[in-house]
Amino acid sequence: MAEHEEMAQQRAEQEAGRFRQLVDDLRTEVGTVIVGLESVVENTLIALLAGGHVLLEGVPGLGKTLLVRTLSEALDLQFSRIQFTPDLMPADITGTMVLWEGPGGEREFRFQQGPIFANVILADEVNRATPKTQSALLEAMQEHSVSVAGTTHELQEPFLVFATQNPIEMEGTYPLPEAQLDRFLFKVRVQFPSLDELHEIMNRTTGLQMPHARRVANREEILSLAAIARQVPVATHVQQFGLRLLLATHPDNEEAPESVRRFVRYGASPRGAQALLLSGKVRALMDGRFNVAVEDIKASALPSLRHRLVLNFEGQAEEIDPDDLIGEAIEALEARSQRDVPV
Amino acid sequence: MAVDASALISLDAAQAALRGRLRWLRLWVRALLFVRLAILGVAVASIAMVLIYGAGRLYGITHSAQDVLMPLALACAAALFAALIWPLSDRLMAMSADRRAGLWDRMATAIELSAGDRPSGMERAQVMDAVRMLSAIRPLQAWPLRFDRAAKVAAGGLVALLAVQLGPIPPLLLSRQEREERAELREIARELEPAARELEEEAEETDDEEIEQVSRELRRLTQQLRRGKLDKRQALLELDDMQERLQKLEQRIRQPSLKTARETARKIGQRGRQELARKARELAERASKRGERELERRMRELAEQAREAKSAEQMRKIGAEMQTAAEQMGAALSPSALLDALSVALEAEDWAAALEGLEALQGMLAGGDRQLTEEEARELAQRLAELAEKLSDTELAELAECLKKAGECMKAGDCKGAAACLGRFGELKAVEFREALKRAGKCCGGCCAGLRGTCSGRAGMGIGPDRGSRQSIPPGTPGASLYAPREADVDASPEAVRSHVRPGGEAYTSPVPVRGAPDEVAPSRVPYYEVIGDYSRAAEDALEREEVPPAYRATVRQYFQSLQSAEPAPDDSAAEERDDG
Repeated sequence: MAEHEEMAQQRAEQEAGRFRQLVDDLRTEVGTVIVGLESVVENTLIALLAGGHVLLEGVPGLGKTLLVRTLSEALDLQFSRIQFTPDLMPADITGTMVLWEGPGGEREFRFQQGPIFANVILADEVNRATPKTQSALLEAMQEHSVSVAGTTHELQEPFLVFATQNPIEMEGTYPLPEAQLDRFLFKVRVQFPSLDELHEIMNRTTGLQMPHARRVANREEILSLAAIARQVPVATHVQQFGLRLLLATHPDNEEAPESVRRFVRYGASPRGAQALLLSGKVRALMDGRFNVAVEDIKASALPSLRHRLVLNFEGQAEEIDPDDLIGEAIEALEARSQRDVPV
Repeated sequence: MAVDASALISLDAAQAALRGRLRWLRLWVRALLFVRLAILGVAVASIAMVLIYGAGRLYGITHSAQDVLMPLALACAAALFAALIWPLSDRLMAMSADRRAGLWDRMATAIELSAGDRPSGMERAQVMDAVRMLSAIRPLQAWPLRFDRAAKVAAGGLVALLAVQLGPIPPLLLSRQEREERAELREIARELEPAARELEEEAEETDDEEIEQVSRELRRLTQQLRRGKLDKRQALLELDDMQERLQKLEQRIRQPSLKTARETARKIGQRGRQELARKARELAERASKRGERELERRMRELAEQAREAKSAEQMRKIGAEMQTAAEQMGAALSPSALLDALSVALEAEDWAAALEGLEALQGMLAGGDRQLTEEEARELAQRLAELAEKLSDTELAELAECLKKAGECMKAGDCKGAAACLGRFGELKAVEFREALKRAGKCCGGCCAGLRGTCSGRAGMGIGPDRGSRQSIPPGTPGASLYAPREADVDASPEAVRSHVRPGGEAYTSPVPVRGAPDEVAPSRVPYYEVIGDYSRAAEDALEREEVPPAYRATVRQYFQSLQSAEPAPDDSAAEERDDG
């Protein structure tokens, strides 16, 4: 028994080492193509290993699409890009039944898979499609399956949706409904690159050769690493911190800061807590730890919760940034959680 | 504390190492907790003491070092108790270590996982990881000894407390009168400093413990006066006590050894024998000139006997025979012969004979059978002065004083004054001398027994029953109670005014509380005619210099007037004194 446990321990340590190695390799490979955007890459990798979807928000031209494409290249995963437009129909995403005529003239309806049947989906400008089309993505994102004509088609794991949206040009768009936003593990904001980063981008993209990422992992390895991440233990107080943080985003909660009470209509859903803990586990392993820390929860709070807060009219009118509300909630919680010896 | 290598293999060992390490850390944290709480307690206690003791000092209440140290010690004890019972669970310690050592919740997670039954591989790896990280923790880095605001407050409080205890009261908080008083006390301190230095040097030279102690206290008193730590009342009390101690010390230092006293007495006796022998030879020569061979031979025999006389009785007999012989030849024996007998009595420590000799001399001078010639008076004065000088550094210093005064009176031709001065020496001092010699083992029991119970005149002067110098009052000396509130019909507080004269001749007064009614234990008595003039003059001077507080001036005047108006008859006073004895 003891030997078995020791072997399990050694295996866990080896897997954790492999996890870190793969993440480092992925980071390196993505870094050969993507300049800067460290936090975006970091969060994207975390979402990948946590098995969650990412909503990338940023103005056009910041490399969102390139990032996702590079990631899929490095992972040897099936990549599919869907450009969302107002006239895009759900069947254009999920696929449809088409009339198939056999060599003998027999005809039958067969399911023609849409672009969603891939491992990595880039839903470009997802807010330009109609809600009906957007909702086609809903089942796929949550259930990892597609139902067409009464038949459910399983999607191959890993199934990751990287959706992008432009926060500025809102005319003629259909903002994602709360239910759909909640399906995303992270909402990552892509910042404009700095001057040095721009220099580097120019150097890399205006030459004769475009850099490409090497494949460093395959589908099985990704699934294996995702399973390892889920084994990372979480202490009670860490989990409690995550849950209290989630509750603190609710205006009727006693631990909610004043700003949340004032500007928030609905707080984050339980999926937010799942996102916090899952991403925390991945962060812990990436950092070489076997446990989730409160710091991991805090680091994951903004991308995990910012898209789950529903502001009230006053909040929208005041153009309140959910990041500020989450930051205040964290500060309020920390002030109450400073349990330490008084020396 | 290094982690055992087995802890990295066995989960149980790892868990044990984890908890063992936490115990050490807990011990360190408790020590820090004690320091922190003690600092807090000292800060609070010192500030409270500064407020309370500071206010007390303004009202003249002083506190000893014990009053200061006790609250501080209590604060530290309370801090120690609190530190020992402060709840420091494993979980709290683990969370604190995580937070302070940057362990990213490794410890808290490991503690929690250790409580589980069947940890998974990942959980075991986590515990091992925590143990590895824990071994790298340095307690001093994770929980450093910090001195924050409380420490500054505590330090400030202690400094303020020291200032309150040792420093002078700021002039701003003093009235004008108090400021003047303190300036006066500083002046006194300045004058005392040379004496203190001298005493210190003497203490170093003699290595005398008592001198060293008095020197130390004098130095302390000087410092307190200079720093204005004492108000006038306290300062005068302290000065009074110090004066008494210095007087006692001076007496002890100047007191020669008994051997020296006895040597002096031997010299005195030798001188007495020589003088009497000389007188006998003079009478022999006179008899030779008159052709009285028998008388000449007898005088020469008496001269030989006088040279070898062992007792005052022998001397008296010789003296008496010489007196008779002198009368036969139409001459008179010099009265100094009485001093010769007295000298031998002192040598033989025969106090009864010595007193008899004194009384005989006193009686002769007070109104004897014949008038002394000028030559006899001069000789007697010379002998008295000589004897006084020899006795001045012995236990019989007061007898010497009496003899000296009597000699001075004789020199001035005042025989009655000389008699009165001799009367000052009573049996009490003789008893004291007897006791001193008895302690030396030389005094015979018989002579002590002969004097026992004959003491009749305890005399003293001053304010209280035990204060002032004690002097003997011979029987029949008129005396009156001094400073007796019942006789002085005034409504005064139990406080007396004592006058002093500074080295520059400037007089000043100081209030001294009366420690008990003057006549409760034993009445203070002194012949008033010796002191009333000095006292009255000193009081009048003080009144004129306005050094007596206005509230006391009327009392002082009324008191002296009552003394003069209530002058008792000498006989009554003597009778009263005999009753007291």
